[in-house]
Amino acid sequence: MKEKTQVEDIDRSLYDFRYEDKDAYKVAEGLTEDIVLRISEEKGDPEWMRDFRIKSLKIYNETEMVDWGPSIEGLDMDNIVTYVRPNTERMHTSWEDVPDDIKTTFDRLGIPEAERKSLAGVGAQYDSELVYHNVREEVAAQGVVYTDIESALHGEYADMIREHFMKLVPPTDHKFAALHGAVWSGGSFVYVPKGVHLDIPLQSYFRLNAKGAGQFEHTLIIVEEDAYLHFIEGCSAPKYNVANLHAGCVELYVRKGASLRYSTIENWSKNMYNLNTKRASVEENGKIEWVSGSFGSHVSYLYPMSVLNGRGARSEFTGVTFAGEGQDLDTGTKIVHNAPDTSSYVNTRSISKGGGINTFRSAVIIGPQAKGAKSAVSCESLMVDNISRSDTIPEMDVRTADADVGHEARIGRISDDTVLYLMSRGLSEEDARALIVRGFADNVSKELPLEYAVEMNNLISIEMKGSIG
Amino acid sequence: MMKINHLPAPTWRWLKVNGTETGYVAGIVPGEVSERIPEGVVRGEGTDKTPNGIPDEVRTGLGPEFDDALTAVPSVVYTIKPNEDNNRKLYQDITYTTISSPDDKGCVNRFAFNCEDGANATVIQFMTGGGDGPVRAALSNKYYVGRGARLTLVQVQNLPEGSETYNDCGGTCEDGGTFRRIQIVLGGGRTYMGDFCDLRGTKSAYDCSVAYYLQGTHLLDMNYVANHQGRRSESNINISGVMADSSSKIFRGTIDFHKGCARSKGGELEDVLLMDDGVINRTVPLILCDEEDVEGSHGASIGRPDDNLVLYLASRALDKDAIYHMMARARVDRVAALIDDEETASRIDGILESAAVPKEMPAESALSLKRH
Amino acid sequence: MSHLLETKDLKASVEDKEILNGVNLVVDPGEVHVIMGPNGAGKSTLGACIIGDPRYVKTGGTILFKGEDITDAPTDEIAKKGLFLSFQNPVEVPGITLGNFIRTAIEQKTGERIRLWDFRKQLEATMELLSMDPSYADRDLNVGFSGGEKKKAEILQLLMLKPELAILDETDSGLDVDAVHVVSKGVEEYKKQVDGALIIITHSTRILEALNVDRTHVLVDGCIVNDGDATLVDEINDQGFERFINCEDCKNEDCAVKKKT
Repeated sequence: MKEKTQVEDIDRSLYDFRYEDKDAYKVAEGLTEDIVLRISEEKGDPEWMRDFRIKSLKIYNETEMVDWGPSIEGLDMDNIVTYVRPNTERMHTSWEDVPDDIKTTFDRLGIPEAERKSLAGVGAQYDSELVYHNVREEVAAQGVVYTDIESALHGEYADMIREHFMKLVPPTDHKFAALHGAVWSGGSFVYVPKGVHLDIPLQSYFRLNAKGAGQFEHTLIIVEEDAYLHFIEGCSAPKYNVANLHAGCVELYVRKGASLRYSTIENWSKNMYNLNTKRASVEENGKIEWVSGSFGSHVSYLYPMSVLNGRGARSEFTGVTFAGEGQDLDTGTKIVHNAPDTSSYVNTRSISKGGGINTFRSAVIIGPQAKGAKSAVSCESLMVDNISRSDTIPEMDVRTADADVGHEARIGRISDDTVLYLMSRGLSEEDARALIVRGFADNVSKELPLEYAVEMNNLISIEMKGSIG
Repeated sequence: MMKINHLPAPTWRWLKVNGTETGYVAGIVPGEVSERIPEGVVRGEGTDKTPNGIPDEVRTGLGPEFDDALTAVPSVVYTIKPNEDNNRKLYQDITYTTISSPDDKGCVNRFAFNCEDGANATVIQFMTGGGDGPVRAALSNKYYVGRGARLTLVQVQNLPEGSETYNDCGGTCEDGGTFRRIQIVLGGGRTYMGDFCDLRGTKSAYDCSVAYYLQGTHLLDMNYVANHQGRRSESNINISGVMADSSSKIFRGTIDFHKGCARSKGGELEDVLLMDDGVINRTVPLILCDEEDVEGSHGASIGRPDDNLVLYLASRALDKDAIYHMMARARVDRVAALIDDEETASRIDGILESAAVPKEMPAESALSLKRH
Repeated sequence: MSHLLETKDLKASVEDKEILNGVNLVVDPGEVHVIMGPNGAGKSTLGACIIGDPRYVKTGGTILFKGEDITDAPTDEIAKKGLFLSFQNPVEVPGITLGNFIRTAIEQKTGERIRLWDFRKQLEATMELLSMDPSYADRDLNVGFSGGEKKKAEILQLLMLKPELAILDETDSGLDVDAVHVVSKGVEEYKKQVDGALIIITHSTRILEALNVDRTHVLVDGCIVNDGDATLVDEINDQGFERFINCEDCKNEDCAVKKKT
């Protein structure tokens, strides 16, 4: 019998700490018009937003549940608390003012340190509200706006918010987009003016602390003509034995000649249902780059979508998904080519281990008007053991002859020869396997800023840790 | 309405590829079959859904709703005994009657091939129309490939314009058994076809090659599944075609690795040449994997021919239509070359040659299906 | 009476980079022209522009073939008029056999069907002349051919298609002595049978030995900087290009060579 790497339950102690939420204000569990109105009131919505929430709730109730992906049977909306306000004033611009337990949380996650070192601005959301937001002075001086959506709704950008809010992802898109429209809270608004090139990234960190709660933050980013932004998003939560839900929404507007890189390291705990919707609209010669590492959650439905509306618009998607024990992660991307000479490039890797289920799902749509469009999709899957599962479900729809569409998919296991070779150079089997998996995921790690690449590699090492039995 | 060609793992509904709805209602009249049966092949009849000699229930590419609808017509069962002649050929010419009205239910034929342990044979089916008018044809082929046996099913579909065709297939391969499928589709109208090959034997194999040429408003809707259960089983699905005018096509191809099929390999390749802007080409190549020690791959290339290639050919005085026609012909020829039968090869060549009309003819009719 | 080929002040660029800076070249029926020049001078670009490669953008000037303006004509029409380019790197075409391809090309060019028997006979005779194994006729065009076989296949097409002007782009480069000999023999045969004109882009003289060269042109940085008769070939081979760069008569003020000197 060949020896196999045995895998322990994952050590997530780094992320798996939590604080009592007894002092926080929360709405009752479940989803009724009354609860939605309470949230709206609590947040001081303008009238149109209150109406929007009620309309979204109606759509939610009328929309069928998805029938094609991982099971979400364990998610009972009647048990989910949709709004939890942390026990603090809403927004702080200094870490010192943030309450101790929340501050300690973000300290342990390394957020303030990262801000000092390498970020142009930071936002931190704790449960349903943003508790901290700050942007460097020199960045603000260039006209860059980085604030919470609630403030933006009442300030000078109110009209801009109204014009763009849930226009890319309308509540009719799917059931959880409707849910988001009804109960959204928190999230960021970023505006980068024409020609402004931000060399260092902005970051938002989302932490869901409350048990049985949902987080529904909304991120709206507008990158004006010829501007550049790198936005980083991180998410984590402690583990509870009841379901938590994350149904955020990200809407990105990339104007003519602009470029936006949107990086995510998602590490929700394994009781999380992560039903997140991300979408970018890209105008002439603009570019969206998605960099996505998915490690956490019990169930994920996550497919960042690029809509290429202007001539020469580009989309690049680089992703890695690691599904371990108890995880059913359905991830991928969608690209719609709506204009001539648009191009898309997709490079994903998925790793399945310890009974985890990985599904790569994609759609590449090349419309009749997208003459000269090019698309290349490459997805590779690695099976680490024989109790896991990995499915690849791509789709291509091409409606012009003047297109060049390529697709390749591969699935396989860690090569025994490679393990043997590395062991012959003195590595243990466990180290050899971890090294191979890290190498396999380097499409994403080499796209991330160093600190994040290190964090990602640590996550892989944690996931791969086990004894050789 | 009946749902056929189910995608083994569904995806987003808005893509409309999870299956196809059709209003097909099965007839009870068989198409006329003229056949030559070689030595060692015994012809019988069965009426059950799972005909005599085909153990267990067989899944098919078009799916259970379609399969159930055909049961009124008895299945002709051919038992293929082991024989020293490895080049045995069973020729079947199926001629479908022209439909008299749009409501005409058309013809239904059901065949089953029981290829016994160690037997080896090739079945060659030509599907043609009885006249110039459209036909409505339903064809079901089921197979059982015994230990070390090898069955090849060649199908050449050359039906009149405006026809509606349901070409279903499904079967099982035991240890060391190989099922080869070679299909050439020269348009015809609306064609739904599929195959479900259950590779339950160790070292069983499925080898499927399809070439098609679509033009006008032709529609081709496909669903092929290689169901790997046995260890060291292998599958290869190669689809190549050319689409012109406002034709449309969906190719669903699935390699399904089940637990226990260790050391299996599956590969899919699709190559589609798009000639006109009106075409709709959809491709859904799945790899489902529940076993660690396997190798699966998929590759697709969709679009125009390579610029260098077009320039090179143009520099030798070939215009765009001639280049496309040549590439279309090359795709069909490549698949036809797999048929190890001179008679069939020359017959296909005849169809293509008679269609290879003088250059004044517009390219879209160059490979057309005019009967002669 | 117009010339067979005439390029007038031809300028071309690829990806916004100027490669030809105003090339003037006149070829009359039956003449043999040699174009020499250092790497990157634009020799292959000139051939590609004449045959109408759409990836090169013609930014100025005209190309006349038999008096007709072919500057913006599509490649297949240019070929049908009687122009042939032998590619430096012939493209592999899977699925189409060499024999079928040549037959189709002849039929396209002449607009007439050709009897299979006649065609095979002619093809086999020509292949024999080029020491090509007849089995190559049934192999996919250029697929898995060695460098020498690819070039022979190009010359085979030249002999079968019988163009009035053939441009040979480094057809002799990278070949061993025997292969060069065969290629030369083929080109000689083309002169004998068709008496067509030739533009030979080359680095060496080996392919020219059996031919009477009428004119030699030196192309540097996208300009023809010198012309001469057959003897210029030998002189260049002995002494290099530098001595033969002569810009005095050139009126092109934008020329990169002029700016340098």
